Amino acid sequence: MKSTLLFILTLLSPSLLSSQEIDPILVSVKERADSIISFQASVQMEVDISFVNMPVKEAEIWFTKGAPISISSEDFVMIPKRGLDFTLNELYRYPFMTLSLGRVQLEGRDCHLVKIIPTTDASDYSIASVWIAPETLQVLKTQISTKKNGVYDIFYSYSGAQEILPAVIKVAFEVSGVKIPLRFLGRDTQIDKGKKADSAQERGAIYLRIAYSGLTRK
Amino acid sequence: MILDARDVRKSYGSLEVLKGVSLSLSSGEICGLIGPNGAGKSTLFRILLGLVSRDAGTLEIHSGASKPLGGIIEKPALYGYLSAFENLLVFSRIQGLKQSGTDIESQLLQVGLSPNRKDPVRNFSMGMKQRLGLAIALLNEPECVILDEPFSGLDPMGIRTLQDEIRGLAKARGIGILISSHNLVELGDLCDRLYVINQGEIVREGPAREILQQAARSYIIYGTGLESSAVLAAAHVEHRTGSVLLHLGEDSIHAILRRLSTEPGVILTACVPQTNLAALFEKTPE
Amino acid sequence: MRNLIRTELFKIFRQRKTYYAIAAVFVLEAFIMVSAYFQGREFLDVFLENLRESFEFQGNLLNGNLIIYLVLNSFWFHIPLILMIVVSGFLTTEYKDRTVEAVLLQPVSKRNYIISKYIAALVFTAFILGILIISTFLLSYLFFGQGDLVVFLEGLSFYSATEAFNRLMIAFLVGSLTMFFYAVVSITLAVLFQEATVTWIVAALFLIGTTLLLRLEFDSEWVNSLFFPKLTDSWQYVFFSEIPYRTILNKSLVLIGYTGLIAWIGIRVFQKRDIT
Repeated sequence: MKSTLLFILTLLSPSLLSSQEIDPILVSVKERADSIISFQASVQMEVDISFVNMPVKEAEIWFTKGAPISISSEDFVMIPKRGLDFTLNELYRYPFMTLSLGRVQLEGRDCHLVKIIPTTDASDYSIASVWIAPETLQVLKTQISTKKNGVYDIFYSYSGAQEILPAVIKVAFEVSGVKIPLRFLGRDTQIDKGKKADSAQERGAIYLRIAYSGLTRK
Repeated sequence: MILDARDVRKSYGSLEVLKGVSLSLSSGEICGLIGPNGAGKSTLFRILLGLVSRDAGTLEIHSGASKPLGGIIEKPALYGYLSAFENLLVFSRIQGLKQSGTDIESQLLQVGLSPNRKDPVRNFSMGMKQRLGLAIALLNEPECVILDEPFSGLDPMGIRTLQDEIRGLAKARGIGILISSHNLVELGDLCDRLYVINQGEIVREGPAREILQQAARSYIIYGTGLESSAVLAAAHVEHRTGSVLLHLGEDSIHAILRRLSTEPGVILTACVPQTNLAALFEKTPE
Repeated sequence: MRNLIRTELFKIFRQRKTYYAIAAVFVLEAFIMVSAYFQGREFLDVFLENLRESFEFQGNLLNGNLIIYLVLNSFWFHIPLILMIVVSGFLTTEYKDRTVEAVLLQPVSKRNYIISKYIAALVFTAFILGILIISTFLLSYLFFGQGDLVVFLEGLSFYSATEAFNRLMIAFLVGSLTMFFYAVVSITLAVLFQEATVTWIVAALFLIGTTLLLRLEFDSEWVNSLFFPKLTDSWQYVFFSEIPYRTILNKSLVLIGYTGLIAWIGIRVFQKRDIT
């Protein structure tokens, strides 16, 4: 709440006229991402949530610019949508403004931190933070405060400095959004209801390990 | 002697059902056990056949056969949903008796049942069920067969047929047969020896004719000229068409028959004792 | 003994009521499968409802494995109820028709006769279970296909199709021990009560009582390990993420012990009792 108020106040400050423009580093990142026309990838998905036991799943994904991502798998897979937004286009969908917070440290690395603030109520998130490695223009982390599904922290790792697309994505989220019907058949008497309440605040993570093929660029 | 039971006792709670019953049976002999309802006949037979334990007494069966005793208790218990053939097959198999289809068919024929009949035995008449029960009792060639009330529910023809079969088993195959009934007529002609049981005790035993005669208190005399007989006029009689019912008084039947046989105008053809059941079931003094 | 057992099975399968019972079991199975489909659909609708906004899904969780799992949950009350009625009839009918005494008039020992009844009951139970298991798997996969199994048991567990199949098979096998236990109980009840209706009532009471007692929570580890109602759902352990084989084995052995004890009681009572 306080930070939101602070942002509003700084927005009103005339000395920050530059925040009405899109941050140039973010623009460069976007241009790099926009150069990707299509690709195919094999994804290994690993779930790390305390009360979920799911083996590593595999899926194939196909990306074509301008079209929805398509997924194919023999098993049941559930891939977080935020994790598939490699190009961050979902953040750019609605009108927004950026706020550059300059250089910060992220896990020992110098990053350029940009806040993306939608300027319309139609957006499904209220604010997003993007940590960018300025030398490689690679996005290292995004933090998205969604309106309905809590806060997502997405970490990106790359196989090389030149890579535009990440090799590993970690999507961390709040698990309160997952409803488990207690009366599902099974040993329901073993459910510790105290634990169930705690899980409302619990965070989980899904790891995506991606191997790309057929990458086409502009 | 095949079967020898001595001083058999059985109680159910405070009710003493058998009070020291002794009974024996030899090969080829037909013994009857007669008594009123509730006398203990079925209980005794269940003890002899091993279905019920005895409280006291001894039971010796002198037989080397794998199945020394066969029997039927009251109505024959059959698998109503199986045919006659299948019933014999089942009862053969459970005692390890290997029988071919031909063997079973011949056993059915021996008791007068058709081997071609495939319907379940619940459709059979009581007489047919009794015959099948007898066939089952005879499986594995027991040396002794115990039949509890085998004639109950049968019509006169059925009774006669079963009596003939029983006689055949005893005389031709040397099987000792013990039959119970509460009906004198059924047992009278059939049995060699008779035991009379009443209230859990054997009250009389001996040759059948003797036992029945001992308890006879009236006779039906058949003949001609009886209506004008002076001998009969002096006795307590009831005249019937073609016969006279004589109630014995002080004179014995032998004395009356002697006098009648010498009376002019009287021709005797038969004299049938009418056993008095009360007298029959009365305990003879020691 | 082999002759007695063969004859028992021959008699069982010559009776029309056996086939009525088998048909009833299949009708019940069909009802359970249809109900499982709607239950599964409802569960998944709730579970996936607000995940759809945040996740992309691929694969169908409402598949044959889920149906089989839900059927498995329902099996262990409805099927034993029918089985106990049918199996107890193997002996109560013979008491009613007096064929018990007819058999014992032959050179057949009481001990062998009653043991053959127990063995025939177990064989019949195994037969019914076998066709139930085969038909459940076949129909479920035929109508609903294969896929991952989701189970909510000490957490949300997802099992691949192959692993789900294996676990479901093991669960059925473990659960079969419970069915054998109930079959033996039915014969023993038939020995004790002899009359068909009384035996059915007592059998139903026993099953209901066991099911209710199963749901009670006891603090004592001894009670949970040794009290027989607590042994009748060992199959559930098969769906823990790490299968506690030792626990399953221990509980199964104790249940087998109970089964043997109850059979022994029935045999002793039958041997001691007069056939009147």
